Parts: sequence; C-alpha cells; structure tokens
Amino acid sequence: MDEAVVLPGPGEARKPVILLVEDDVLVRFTTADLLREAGFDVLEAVDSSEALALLTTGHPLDLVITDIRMPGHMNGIQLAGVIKNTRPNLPVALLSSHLDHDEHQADVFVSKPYDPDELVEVAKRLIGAEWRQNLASPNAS
Amino acid sequence: MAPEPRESQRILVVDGDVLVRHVISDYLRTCGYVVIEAASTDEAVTVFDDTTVDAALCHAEAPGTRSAFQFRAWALQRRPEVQVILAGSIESAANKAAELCEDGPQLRRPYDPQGVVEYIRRIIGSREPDRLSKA
Repeated sequence: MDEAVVLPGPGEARKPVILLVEDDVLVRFTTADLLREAGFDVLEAVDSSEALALLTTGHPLDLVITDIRMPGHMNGIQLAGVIKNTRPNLPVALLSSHLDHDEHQADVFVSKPYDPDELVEVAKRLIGAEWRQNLASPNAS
Repeated sequence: MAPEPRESQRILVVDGDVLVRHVISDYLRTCGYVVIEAASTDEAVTVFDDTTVDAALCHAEAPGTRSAFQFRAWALQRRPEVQVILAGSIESAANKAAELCEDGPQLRRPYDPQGVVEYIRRIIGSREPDRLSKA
C-alpha cells in the first residue's frame, strides 16, 4: 500500500475526512481502520440516519463511502442522491457486492469484496478532486 | 498517574447516538487506543464474538435486543477478563440496574472524556491485552 496520505487542505492543516456508512460492524471497523492507517480521518455511521446526522453537524467532510444495502429508510443509492442534491461537490463512492446498479448519482462504484489498495486509491483520487474544487471555489460544498 | 495505553489496546464503544459515539471514540483514538464503534448491543455482541477487545464502554441505554445491563452480564460470562464499563445518568439507569440486581453505571454520560480515559487506563493499564490470549 502507498504511504499514508498527508494532504494540506485549502488553508487548513487537517487530514482529509471520510464519512463511512456501513451496517456491518466488522466490515465498518475493518474498512475504517484501513482508511485511518492510510492517513484519513474517518467518521463512522451505521445507516443513512446516522450519516445524515453527521452531515448536518458541519463537520469537515471530503468524501462519503457508503454501502448500498443498509437497514433503515434509505439505501446507499438514495443517500448518495440526497448528498448530491445538497452538497454536489462532495464526492460519493458506493460499495456493494451487487454489480447491477447502473442508475446512481455516486462518483464511483466499488464492488465488494474490495481490494484494500484499490479502495485507498479511489479515496485519494476522489478527495484530491474535491480539494481542488475547494481551492477553485472556497465556498463550494 | 495512570499508565499510557500500550500500542493497539482496543476499546469497544457502544452508543446509539452517533454524535456522542463519534466524539468519545475520536477522543480515545487521540489518546492512543484503537476504537471499535458499535451502534447497539447487537453489534457489540458481534464484536465480542468475532474479535478481541481490552475493554468496552457502553451507554446504559444503548439500543439493541439486549439491554446494556444484559449485555454486560452476557459479556461477563463470555469473556470475564474484559470489563464492560457502563455509562449513563444515575437517574435513568438506576432503576434498570435494580431490576437486574446489577451495579449501576460506573461513569456519567454526557462523558467527561478525560475521566473516561483515566478510568480505562486504571482498569486495563496493567493487564496484558486480551487478544494475546486469543488467536
């Protein structure tokens, strides 16, 4: 795996922040641990309700990674749609073991089981794009 | 002074309020612990069954099939070497504890993060990590 991400933000000295939405506690912990080891800060949510609660706090966020199949009133595709409607510059990656999801508003679809290096690379690529947009338009997102 | 955490000591945090769970988990990570977040006692049971932890911090009113007190009793049977620390308001949790003839919460919630860390350091700081004894 590549070395940990150390990205200076637009005028900030924080790590890039990922919101991870996953209802399987062990998968969530393993994935969050992997991303933290790669240098990201990770917020963990068990479902869309928790994700939306975290999204409304104003906590800095640079990427959302969400599973598609989740309990609760909203699946990952619907959550991605809500995020894209409210924060269009916030990238979203969908995780799922089912490959038949052509219609979604996410930026990337990652199939499960995912390759850890691939997931980290996807996160780096999406976060890089988000931060570049912030640099170009400080009030975006 | 309580000892610093050894590398990779694992704390399971069980709380149904994602904001509270995030804040206390983030603080524990800053203090050097590996934190596993569980949103319910059901998730906590899964963690206990499938991986190793050195201690658990559980909201006395955490959601789930088992109450927090029932989870603590189950965990004590399953892994007596792992302490489950209950946290809650005295008022809200005392009745539940009395029903189960259990001790009430050891810590108050809302959390005093530094108090939580000091408590955890006291109870696991001098013990070998649980995972060393489990493959």
